[in-house]
Amino acid sequence: MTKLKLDRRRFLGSAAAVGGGFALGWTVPGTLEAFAQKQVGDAGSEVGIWVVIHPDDTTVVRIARSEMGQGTLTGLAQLVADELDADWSKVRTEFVAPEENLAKKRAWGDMSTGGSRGIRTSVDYVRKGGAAARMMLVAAAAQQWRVPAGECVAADSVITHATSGRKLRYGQVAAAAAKLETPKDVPLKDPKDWKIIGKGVKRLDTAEKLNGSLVYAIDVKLPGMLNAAIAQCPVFGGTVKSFDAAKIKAMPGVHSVVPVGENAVAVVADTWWHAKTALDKLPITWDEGEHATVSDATIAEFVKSGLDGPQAALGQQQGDVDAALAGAAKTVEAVYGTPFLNHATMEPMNCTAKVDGDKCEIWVATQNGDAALAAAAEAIKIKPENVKVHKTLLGSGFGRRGMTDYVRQAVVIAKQVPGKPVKMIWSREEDMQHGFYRPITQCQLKGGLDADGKLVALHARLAGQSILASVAPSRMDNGVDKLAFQGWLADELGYMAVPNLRIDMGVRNTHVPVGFWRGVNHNQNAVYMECFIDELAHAAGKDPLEFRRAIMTKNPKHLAVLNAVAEKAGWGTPLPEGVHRGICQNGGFGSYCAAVAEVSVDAKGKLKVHRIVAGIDCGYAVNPEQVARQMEGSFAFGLGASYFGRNTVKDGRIVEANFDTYEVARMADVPKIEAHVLASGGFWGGVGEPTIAVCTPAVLNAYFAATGKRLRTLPLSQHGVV
Amino acid sequence: MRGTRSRTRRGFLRGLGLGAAWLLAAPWRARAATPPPVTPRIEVPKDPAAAIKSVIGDAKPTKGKVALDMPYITETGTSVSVAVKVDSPMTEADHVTAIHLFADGNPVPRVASYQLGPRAGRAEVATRIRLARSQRVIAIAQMSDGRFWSDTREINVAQGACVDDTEGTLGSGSRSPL
Amino acid sequence: MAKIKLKVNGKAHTVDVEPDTPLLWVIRENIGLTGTKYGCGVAQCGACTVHVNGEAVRSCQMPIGQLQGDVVTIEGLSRDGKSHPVQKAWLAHDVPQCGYCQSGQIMAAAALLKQTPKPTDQDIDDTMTNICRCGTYPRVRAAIHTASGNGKA
Repeated sequence: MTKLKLDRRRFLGSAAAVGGGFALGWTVPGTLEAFAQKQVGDAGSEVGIWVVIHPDDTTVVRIARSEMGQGTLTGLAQLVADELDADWSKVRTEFVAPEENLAKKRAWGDMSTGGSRGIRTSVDYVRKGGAAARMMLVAAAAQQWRVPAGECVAADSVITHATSGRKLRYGQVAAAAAKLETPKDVPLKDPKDWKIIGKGVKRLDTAEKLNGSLVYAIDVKLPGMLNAAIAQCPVFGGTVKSFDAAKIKAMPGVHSVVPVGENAVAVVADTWWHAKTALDKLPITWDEGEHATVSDATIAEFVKSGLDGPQAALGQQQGDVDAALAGAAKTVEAVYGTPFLNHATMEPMNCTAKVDGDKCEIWVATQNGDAALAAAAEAIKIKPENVKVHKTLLGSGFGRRGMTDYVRQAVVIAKQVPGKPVKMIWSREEDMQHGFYRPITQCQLKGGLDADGKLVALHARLAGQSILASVAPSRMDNGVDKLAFQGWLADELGYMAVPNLRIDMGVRNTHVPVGFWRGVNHNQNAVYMECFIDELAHAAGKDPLEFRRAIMTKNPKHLAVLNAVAEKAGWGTPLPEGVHRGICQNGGFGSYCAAVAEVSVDAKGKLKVHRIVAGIDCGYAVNPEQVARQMEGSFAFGLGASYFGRNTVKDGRIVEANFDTYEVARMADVPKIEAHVLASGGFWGGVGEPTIAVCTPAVLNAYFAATGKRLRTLPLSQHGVV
Repeated sequence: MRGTRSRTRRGFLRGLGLGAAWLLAAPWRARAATPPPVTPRIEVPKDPAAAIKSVIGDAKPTKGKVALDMPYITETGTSVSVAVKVDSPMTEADHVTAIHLFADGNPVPRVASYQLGPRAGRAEVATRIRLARSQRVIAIAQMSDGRFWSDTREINVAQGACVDDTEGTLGSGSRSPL
Repeated sequence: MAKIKLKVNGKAHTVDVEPDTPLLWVIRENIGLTGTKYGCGVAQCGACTVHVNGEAVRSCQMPIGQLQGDVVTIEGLSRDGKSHPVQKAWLAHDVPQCGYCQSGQIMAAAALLKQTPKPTDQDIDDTMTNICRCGTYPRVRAAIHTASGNGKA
């Protein structure tokens, strides 16, 4: 029996051991105790609920959202620290524990991190949290000096009494400030006075990622911990008929074999390798259920039927598109299609859970601490008040970790191994074949041009799967999934000047589970719209930029970004021999984006993308450097998916099992990227997702410019161009 | 052609959105020359106060006697356990005649009504309800003496990850927490 | 199961495991160093990259029974966890987003620079095949150039 050697120093990976940067608030324990969150008030004083200040001025900002690489942790800290007038070099962060949020009636607000909302829906109250803390610190100093607070100024964690020149550090008055009442009326700074917000400061969470010391959920180690490997029925909707635990019980390290709900079995062992090895040998008989004959072909036919079925959910319409199409000088029609896509987060799904009677503790990478807590409680029918959640940083999320399937599984397993923590890890194969895929869709577009080549009628009919129907039906609007029309409703579409418009969808829900894939429906909707607009432009004999300008007269913000990016890309200026340009714009998640791609196609028909010039107007950018990085990253993610990404279905199951068959972008696939942060101020737009939508259409349109051929289905690998 | 409509228990139940059952129509059924008739929707008041009024009239319930038990937080709101107990001897002379449930943030605030009488023995109901978003649930007990008693509980629906609420339009951005 | 000796980050270990246990899982579970990551298990992603006798190896496909040589993991790349030129360059460019792939990226980059002190972009394309789902590739490239003395900090 293998003994686990636990390296105590590496147990929790505190930043204190590493130096520099950021502490998650976890202390290196003196004893082999559980992974514990820092006890508030060890030495620090809570000045309001968002800020803890230590005597040495170390300023801990509390973070309610999740960090999955998108930089929200640092951004939120910037928002608080600026209003707090804190010395940025003294700022650290700690996660709010979901059970704390629950106990304080969600005083820290929404913990869900998705929809590119982490910053933009937090700005008001977190800034107020910082500002209120500053007011309390100043008041405490003023009281100590017996002077009016109005004569005191705060900057860089120091309060100065203007007239006498006396100074006090935040750390010196924090304890007194903590006793004061939180002010109700909290004015915020004018953006022109920001010193930290809007600056490309270094991330707070980098140092620990450079030397292996950051503990991801998959790395959690606890005393007495066991490991579990899980197998779910390969066919969605199928169940476990039987399994023969006796056959593997004697294998090395095996502790037990447990059912997990109706559709899965887990082997629990001393190490995950032992668990996985035994699981691979466990005889399981599946009842594959009624979907075992579903295939790509049956799905494609089913989805296609939504294109001309009489019933369609309406997104928006204006004018009379049927009449306008009938009377148009020229019409263009095309059908596009995109496949299922797995998130393929870098860290496979995993969760560690410990169940003791009616109490439960979990260690988890989640995009929503509240949801993970609620899910754990619901999975084993205990009170939410009895659940503790330890949030880690995520080895990427992309929307996959907003689902709680793996949380529920871990808790159900742990309940069958009472009193012992059990870490459940999905193999990559399990992760690839049991995702919540980007939905499969097709789109039929019809456009009508007038005699001057202007677009006067546009009908886009989507067909395919609704995410909300699968995942959150209570968020549907009278049975309509409005999310399916992302980018195309009146508040997002950049072409509202087209007088006759209809956007609708024939919903066709397959048995494949679908979910929110970074960018969600903007990804394929932007391909459909922006490539078709390009088709129309060429049919009208117009330059694609000019053609768009003519119909963007009602959308100045979309147009401004498009024009800016076109200018930066040198649209219209001469290009080297064989290089061609494509252009695209999209509005989504509160922001406006555009991109120009420069490509060439060689004699063998292979595509090479030389450069992408892109821009985002997100209003205010809390950290422009990070926004640029997210743009670059989103292109690797989106372009890679368009080049290679596809999950296929055969015999009711997903075929691709690993990165060898589900290819993603690597270093050599990513072109030169010029990312422009065109923050125009005045509003807060999302950043993590909006730009992903603009790279693929720009490339596809450039491909057309280079070859005269339209590629209307993804991935590109099926066309032999990559 | 074998239908590929999701008929797993999970997919089927979740696909039953309000009013639009045709969204689940299998393709071969959709090929009608004319669209099938749409079931007319009964006009129900959307405003919670109006919904309550439509059931109990102008009566103003008093807080008390009713204990509404439900979790403070739920993941999706799709199926939340609710239990209501009313402190009543349930005799011929003194009993609960009905228990009404309302959800002030649902598109249809009136959730359920249960008729009771002395033969019910105990004034208790338990059920699962669907909640569209974080909101308050109100339980109102109607008594044989004509009085109304109530209890209210707040519930938070945690799921929000990656759902880009269409309530947030371009350029609007900030929203306050619950 | 067999008693197998190996040296990791300069320290001798004896582990009692089946000889076909991948080095990755011996490192993570028997020795307890979790900086080396599991991403795919089939040598496709590179998150498990370690150095064996100075060369980059995808440890998920190295059975412990076949290990020949000393192992260096990300924890052992520098004594203080931050002073290797690659680590310094990574910090200067703020390369990581989620960071999960970065142990492997850094180990692969360190091995590349040892073999090719001034790599070209083509060298980087050819050898840095590690997957990064967050798309830090442009920054990884820039940081490698900085670490090699070729690039701008």
